[in-house]
Amino acid sequence: MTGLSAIAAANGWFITVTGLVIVFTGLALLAAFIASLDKLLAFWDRGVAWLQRPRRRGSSGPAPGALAHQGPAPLPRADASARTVFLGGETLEVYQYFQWLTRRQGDVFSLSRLLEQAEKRGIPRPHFHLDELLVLGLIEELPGEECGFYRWTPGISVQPEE
Amino acid sequence: MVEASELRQSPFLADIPDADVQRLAEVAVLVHFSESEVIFQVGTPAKNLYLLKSGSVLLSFPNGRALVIRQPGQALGWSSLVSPFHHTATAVCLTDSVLYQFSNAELFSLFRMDAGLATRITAKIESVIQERKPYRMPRTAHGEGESRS
Amino acid sequence: MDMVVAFFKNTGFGLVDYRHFIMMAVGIGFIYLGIAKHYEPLLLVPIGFGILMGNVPIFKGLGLGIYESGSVLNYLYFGVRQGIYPPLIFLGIGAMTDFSTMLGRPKLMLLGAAAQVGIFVTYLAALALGFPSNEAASIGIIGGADGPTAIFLTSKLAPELVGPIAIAAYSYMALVPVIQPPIMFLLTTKQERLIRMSDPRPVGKREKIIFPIAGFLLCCFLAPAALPLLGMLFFGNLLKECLVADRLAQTARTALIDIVTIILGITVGASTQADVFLTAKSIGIFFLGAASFMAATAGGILFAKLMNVFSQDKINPLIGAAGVSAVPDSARVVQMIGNREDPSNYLLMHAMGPNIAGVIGSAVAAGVLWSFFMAP
Repeated sequence: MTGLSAIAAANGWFITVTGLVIVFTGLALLAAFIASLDKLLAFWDRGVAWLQRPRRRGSSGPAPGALAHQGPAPLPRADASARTVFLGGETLEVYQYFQWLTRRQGDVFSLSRLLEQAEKRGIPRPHFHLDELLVLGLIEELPGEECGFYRWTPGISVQPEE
Repeated sequence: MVEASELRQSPFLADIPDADVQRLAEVAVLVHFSESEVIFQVGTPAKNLYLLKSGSVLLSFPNGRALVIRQPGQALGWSSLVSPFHHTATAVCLTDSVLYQFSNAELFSLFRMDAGLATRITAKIESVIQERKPYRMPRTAHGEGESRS
Repeated sequence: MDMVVAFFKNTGFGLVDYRHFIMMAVGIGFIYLGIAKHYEPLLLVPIGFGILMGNVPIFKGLGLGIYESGSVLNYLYFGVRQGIYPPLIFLGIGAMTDFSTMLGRPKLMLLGAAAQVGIFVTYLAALALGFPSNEAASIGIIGGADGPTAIFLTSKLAPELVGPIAIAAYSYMALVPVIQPPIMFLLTTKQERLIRMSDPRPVGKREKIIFPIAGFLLCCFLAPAALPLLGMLFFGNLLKECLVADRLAQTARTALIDIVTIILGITVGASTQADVFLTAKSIGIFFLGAASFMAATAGGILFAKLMNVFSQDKINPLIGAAGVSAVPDSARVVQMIGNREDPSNYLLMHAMGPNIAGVIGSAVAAGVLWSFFMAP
């Protein structure tokens, strides 16, 4: 037997309706109980407090989503008043390479492109030296809408270490 | 697993209760990357969240922007927890770096066990996402950024 | 020479036929999906290997096969046949789940109830297709998206179908990220998907302890046949929340659930043999199972939209899809779809509410169906 007659023969409609009613009723009753639970507990606490005059007990748990916006600290910068930075050996060489590479991108350049080109040309330890130049303040990030792009910090000159 | 006291020093978790830090410490793994090593590539499935312990990492976005992560506690790889679930930037180490790695499977198990922890961590992740939103904007001519829809 | 021939005839090479190869391909496919694609690996790898074990051709009568009395696999399968393993899994689930997102906004429980409409719609469809009542109920429970519940009910009502129904249920649970999104997009507008929900109220420790006790009593008074499943679920949660039995909760959600999952997976897989699996009935089960999932997803979403008509505190209807009890995968799918519209709209924890309610709802539905067909 198939079709609607099969459903009717097996009391399918009755079982479906009853089943759904029971599921909904069960969860609805549970939801109603939970919804009133905090009020019941508060009522209970008031009763206990009235009987015992204890310290007030709160029934709330910790508030979710306590926000503490954790912004990144600004990048450490070399002292902006230092007009001359002394670089030695390999760092100076890489600095000069980087200057040359960034000239193609213009005054404002992308660090990822710089690294990519430096690696292609076999410049030694470009990542380490880039980090060094950033820490020394020779390269600075642009603010505002140009954030994420960088430039050579104006007003700083580089001299070789003695 | 790392020591909770060690993880507690991470500024990202400064205002997280000790019990939460303990749970996070149980699933954290300390990973070491060498200078120039890629932690994750843009477009690859995001499987782990990272907190920087030491070193410096360059986050490069496909639009040419980049962000240097060098403060201990800064988060990387938040795409493991939110859409699009693949990395939106490439992370490459500028120096030898040590990071705390949290697999997203372990984090989701923790979240399932503790909704409060989930809320606190996702609120922090959300603030990181908002902070880095300008870096995901395309660059237009004359530097006028357009906000994405 | 005769002995050699006789020996060969009793090896797998002598006993194999094409159906064994098909089943082995299915088993290898499951293992591949679990390992290479990371689709529910904790389930698909044991089930896949179990299929391989159950479909190696063996000489009957040696006490090796899963259906042969006295075999190791048969002893292990006892827990499936008698419905022992699913409640133990529910114990672990209760011990690893925080119910506070549901407790903080109780009305979301109705979404878990609404999603169970998929079970009953599929039950009717199976009846209409000619399945007997007990089999139709076992097929319908696939829509509950809960593997243990599906295995539990099927072991009671139609034990010969445990294999295909378990495989259908777990397959569709693994495919939740594929099945649900189109339905979610179809049934919601962009504006609805952008709804940001307010934070649920904070839930106190006492509420978290009282709930499993009250919930168990209420649900089991209403549907006593759900007692094994719901009893274990709420017991596990009580162990977790009471904080004085943390060692037990820890065992329940780690070692115990892992052991049971291993044995359940391998025995369910081994019980899935060609003569039951490679039939038109199995194909019908797979189709109806998919329909069941879709109907459940649609039921939850549509009910959420209905609730928004009467409620000032709007619900993002996407979370209705999490009313299927595939915890936490369907909640993560909701999170993913919601994020696509608004990356700062974090719906995961809101979706966990109906997700957990769906577990309770599907267990109640299973209890109701079992009680209708229980032998007097």
